[in-house]
Amino acid sequence: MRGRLLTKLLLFLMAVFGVMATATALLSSRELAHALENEYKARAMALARSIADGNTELLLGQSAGNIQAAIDQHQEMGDLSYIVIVNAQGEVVAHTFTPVVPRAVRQFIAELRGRADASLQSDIRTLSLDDGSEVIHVAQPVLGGRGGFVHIGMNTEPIQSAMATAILRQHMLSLAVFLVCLAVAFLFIRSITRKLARLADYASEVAAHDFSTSCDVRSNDEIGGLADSMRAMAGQIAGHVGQLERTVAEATLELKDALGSLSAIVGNIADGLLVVQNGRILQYNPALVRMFALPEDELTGRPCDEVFGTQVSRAVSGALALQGLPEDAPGSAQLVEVQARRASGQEFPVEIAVARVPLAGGEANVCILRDITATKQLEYEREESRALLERMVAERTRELSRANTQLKIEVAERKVVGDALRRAEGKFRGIFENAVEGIFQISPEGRYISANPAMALIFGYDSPEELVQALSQTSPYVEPMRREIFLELMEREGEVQGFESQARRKSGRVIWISENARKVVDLSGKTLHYEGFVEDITLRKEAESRLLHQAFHDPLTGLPNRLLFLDHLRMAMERARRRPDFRFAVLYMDLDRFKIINDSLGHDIGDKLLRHVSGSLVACGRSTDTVARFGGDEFAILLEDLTAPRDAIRFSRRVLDEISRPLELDGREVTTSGSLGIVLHTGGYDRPEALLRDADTAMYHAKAQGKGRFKVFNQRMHHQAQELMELEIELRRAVGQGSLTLVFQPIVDIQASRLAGFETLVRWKRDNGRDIPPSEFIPLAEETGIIYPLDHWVFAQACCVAKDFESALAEAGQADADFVTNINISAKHFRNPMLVGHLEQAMHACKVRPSSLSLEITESVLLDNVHSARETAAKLRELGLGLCIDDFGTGYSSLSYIQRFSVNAIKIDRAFVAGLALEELDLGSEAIVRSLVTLGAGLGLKVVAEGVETLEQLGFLREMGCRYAQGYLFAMPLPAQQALELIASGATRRWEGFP
Amino acid sequence: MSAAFSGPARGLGMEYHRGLMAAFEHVNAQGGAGGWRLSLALRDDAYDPAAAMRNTIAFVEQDRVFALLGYVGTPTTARVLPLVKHYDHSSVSLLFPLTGADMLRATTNEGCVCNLRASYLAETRNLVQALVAAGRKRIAVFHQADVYGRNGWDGVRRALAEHGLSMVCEATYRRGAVFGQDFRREVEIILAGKPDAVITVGTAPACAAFVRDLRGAGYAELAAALSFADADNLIAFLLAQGRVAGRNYLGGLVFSQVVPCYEDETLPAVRAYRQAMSRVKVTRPPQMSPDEYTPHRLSFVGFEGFLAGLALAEAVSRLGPQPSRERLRMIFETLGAVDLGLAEKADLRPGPDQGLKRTYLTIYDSRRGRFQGVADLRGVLP
Repeated sequence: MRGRLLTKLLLFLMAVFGVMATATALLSSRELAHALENEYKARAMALARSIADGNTELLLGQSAGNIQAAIDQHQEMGDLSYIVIVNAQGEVVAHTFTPVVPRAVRQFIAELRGRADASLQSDIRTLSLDDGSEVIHVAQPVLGGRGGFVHIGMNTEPIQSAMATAILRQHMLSLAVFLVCLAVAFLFIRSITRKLARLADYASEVAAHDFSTSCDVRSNDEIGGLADSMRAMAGQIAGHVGQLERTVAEATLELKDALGSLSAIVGNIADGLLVVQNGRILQYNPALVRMFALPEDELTGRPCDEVFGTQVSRAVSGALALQGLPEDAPGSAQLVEVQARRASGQEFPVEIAVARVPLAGGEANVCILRDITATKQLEYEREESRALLERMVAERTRELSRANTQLKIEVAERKVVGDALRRAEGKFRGIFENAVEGIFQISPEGRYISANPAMALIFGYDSPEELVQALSQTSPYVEPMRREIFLELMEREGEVQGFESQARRKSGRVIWISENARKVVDLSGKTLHYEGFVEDITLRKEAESRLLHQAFHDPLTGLPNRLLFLDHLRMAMERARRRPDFRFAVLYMDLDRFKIINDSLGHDIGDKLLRHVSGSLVACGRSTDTVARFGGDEFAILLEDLTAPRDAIRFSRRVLDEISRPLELDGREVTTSGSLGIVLHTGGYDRPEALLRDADTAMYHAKAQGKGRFKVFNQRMHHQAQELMELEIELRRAVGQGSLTLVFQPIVDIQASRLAGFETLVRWKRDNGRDIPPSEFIPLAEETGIIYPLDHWVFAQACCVAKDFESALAEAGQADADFVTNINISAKHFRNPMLVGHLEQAMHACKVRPSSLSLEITESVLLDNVHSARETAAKLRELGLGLCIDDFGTGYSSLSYIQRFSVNAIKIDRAFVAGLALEELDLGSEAIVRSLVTLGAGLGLKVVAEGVETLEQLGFLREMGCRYAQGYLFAMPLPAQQALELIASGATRRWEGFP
Repeated sequence: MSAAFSGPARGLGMEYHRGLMAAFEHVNAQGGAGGWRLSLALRDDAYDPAAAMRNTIAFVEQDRVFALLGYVGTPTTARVLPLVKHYDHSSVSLLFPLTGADMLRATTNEGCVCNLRASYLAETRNLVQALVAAGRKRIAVFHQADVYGRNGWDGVRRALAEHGLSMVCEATYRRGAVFGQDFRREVEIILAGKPDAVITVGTAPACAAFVRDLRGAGYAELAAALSFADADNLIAFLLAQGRVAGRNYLGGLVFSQVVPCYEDETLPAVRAYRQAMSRVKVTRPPQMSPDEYTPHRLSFVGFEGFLAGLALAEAVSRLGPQPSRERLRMIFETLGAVDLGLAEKADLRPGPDQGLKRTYLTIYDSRRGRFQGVADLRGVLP
């Protein structure tokens, strides 16, 4: 039955729609075909006319070829299936058929030729061609037929196919619409019938008294209304039926209860119950049997007097009580007291209540029998105790009046104490209210009990009440566990001092607070609450952290300083010890030429450059890396958590690229570069300082190789650094202990073959016995600053030896001989302003004549800082000391310097001397030596040739007029003792050993 | 040069190009024409009018050629003609197209087109005259359904009218036919008119296929083809077919030509052509040969190309130091009759008498394996 309505409706709709769709499609396809045909015909006409009109001249001309060219072009346009041109004589002049003009067309042309009126207007018709296709054929006269005819054919196949397509499309559309409507109708009808079906089901359920289900049909139409009323109706019916059933059940239950309780009462009451009718026992209860101690026989139906005796029998039958009573009082009980006798024969008093009750079998007496032996006894005892009680009450009343008097006195005293307490509390409340510190009380569970206005102010609340209200809901601490820590401390210690934490104000701003609190206990030691003070220490904290930052950061760039860097480095080293896969690298960077920039452009630009560099470094690094400035232009970088060593290399490249980019500071272009030292293998270090030192060493190696490079620290550098350090320590010690030795290289006058002086040389034998040449340790000494004590020592020693030489000369009778002791002074030392004073002091100490001494300096001395060098030179000359330029010709000094510095001797470098008297001619050296000799002679300078080793060289020098020479040819450097002996031998007059 | 270098009609383009190049190389080897070296730009149109149009636009606007030379085919050249007129302001000349179509010889085109060969009207007129003289009066025409075919058809029609005759029947075929195409239906239509001579106006493969089917249908009278049918390629098809079928298709087949037979070495032009071809380096344009083609050592079309090349060289040699297109046109107007080494001189001046006037009839001598000129068709039998 279900859905039958739906099916019927759907079938009906299908039928109606189907008929409509078919009719519409047929109609529209017919109209379309008609329209298309008309359109095609119109187009064919238009085409024919355009060919005829557009090519009139050609058509009139005799050239069939030209006509063919024209119609070929027309046909290529696509619409036409053929074109035929017929001349005025009716001959086909040109056509586009292959292989021949179809018969139908030929017939038509022939037909036109016969018709007189054909030449007036165009003729249109449908022709069927040989191959079975249909065409729309148009014959268009040219110049009214005088110029012939243009025939064109247009295939109707496009019309047919367009029509078929249109009909098909129409049908498809109708079908689609039909299906959509059907679906909608199906859904719509189904929604209605489904509701109806559900309602029907519901109604049958209600009819079967099943109210458990409900009908969920809801809508605001008629069905919805019907469903609503059905639901209401069913509800009412269900109510009535339920009410009825409940009432019946209740009544039955009540009845059952009454009956049960009644029989229970009867069975359990302590009094005996007896129902008598006509003097016979009708009913009784067990209490009665017990009361009379009767045997366990059935008593019902037995006569009363036989069981209970006459007295009782009479009482129960109403004979005693009813005497003198009106008859018309059924139900109302009568009380009688009689003496009864038990089965054992014992007598006892019994009280009997008799009520007359009409029963089905006639009137009966219902009697309650009570053994009143105990009652009688009790009555007697009660009389006794009442007398006793009255006595006791009288006594108690007296005691009470005494206590009352006492109490009144106490109340008066307590009033006095209370007044004192109130005054104290007022005082403390004032303190509490007006204190600067926040004061609070909290319960041991951490709930705020009270607070003062100062505390509210600290936390940014308007009143203490608001504060307490707010803090009882949320903890003020930023750290969530802070309250628990506070309470735990409190409970354990009993008090809290300087408990500092971060807290949140009402506005959300975080402040630092310090709390002091103690526990308040009652007399029994139970915690009442905690009370304490709060102080806002935010300012102090901020100051502290600022100080901390300043202590660990460089003020110029804001980068970490050495301290913080070392700290980070230490942490990184520790992490690397714990985690083997943790890699890090330390980089040390120094800007090249920073000092020049700083000196030449000013500190301001120097500082800006440093800030720029630090910015670049930070930008190149990651957030985990530490970039620190160690002061000056030194930076250190700690790269942590590297995946591979090449990360550090890549970082270095980037940094160097970044830094070497030209930059404009205060309108000046500044270019700098950096040198980087890298320590990649950080495993073997215990101390961060050692790591830094090696990075520094690597950086120096990088710098030594050129600017803008980086160098990774390796073991070789380590050894070199160590070696150099050891050498430095030993040299320092050697200078300090004076364990260096001086030797003296003779300078000879080659023209007179005599000794003309010595050059003082220093020798150092290391602890391991190795002789270190000056060329090795002098640069080290210059670099490390040992040169100052070294030169001092040498000068002081040389002065003393020179003094000895003077004495020896005097002894040899040569006191006024031309004799000079040369002493080397480092170029670095020459710039020292204290030099002159030191030298003066040393000469004074040995009492040596300044004119017997000459200082040897290198050309570079004259070049650096010309002004001060000139001053020093002048002072030395004033003292009387000679000045000699060593290795002359190898440097870059201008000849004019020689004059300006009042030099009195030059030494020709051994390289030029070595070039003399070679087998292959070295004209350059020869020329240089010769010109130097000439120059010396011209300027009045002593000229000394160094490194003379062969007789040939000597011959040359002599021939050139050079006066002084020194070299192995004459003698090796001699110890002081041998030098003295040489002088004593009179070599200053004439040297016996002269070659 | 825009011509068919691919497709069924590619033989014409190839041969004409070879002839032109032979002339160019001949001229260039002698130091050029008046010092100017001649060179030829090529584009393939596959005998398609639309492609020819595109090629011409490219030649004029992209390549900026000096002149358009050696276009092949009537429909293609006919389509290009309005375009050349459009370019008239830049004085581009269309020189020596390989077509005898009427419209190229119209007075309206004088100046911008220069023809060397005789027209189809002249060819058909001579052919019909020779046929009528040989007693053949039932003449049918099988022609291509386009301008070329219609020109030939028109020529035959007019020539017959001069003799008071009309063609007995006609049939057409669509352009682009290959040798494999079946023409038995067309043959049937033609034979319905009981002709004693059939003139075919088509391309080499189409004419060859038609003759094959014509002979196959038992037709034992004369058949003739125009110069554009490319006699050398046509007989190549028929010889190959003859070898397969074991019969001779070449008997009774007359070729109308616009140049003398290249076997006639009495003519200086023929001698020069044969000499040039023996030296020629260019066998075919390599970049334009998607389809296989074996060139002939010598051919009528090639000979025509050679003559056209010489004619151009003659004009170019007069250009002087400052050549221009206008000057080229002017030279053609004033050149006078040019001796190309033929029996007649070629007058290249614009006008109705422009170009060569004579046409020639040739047949293929199967026994000797070569073409030979023929004056009287009476002795020519299948």
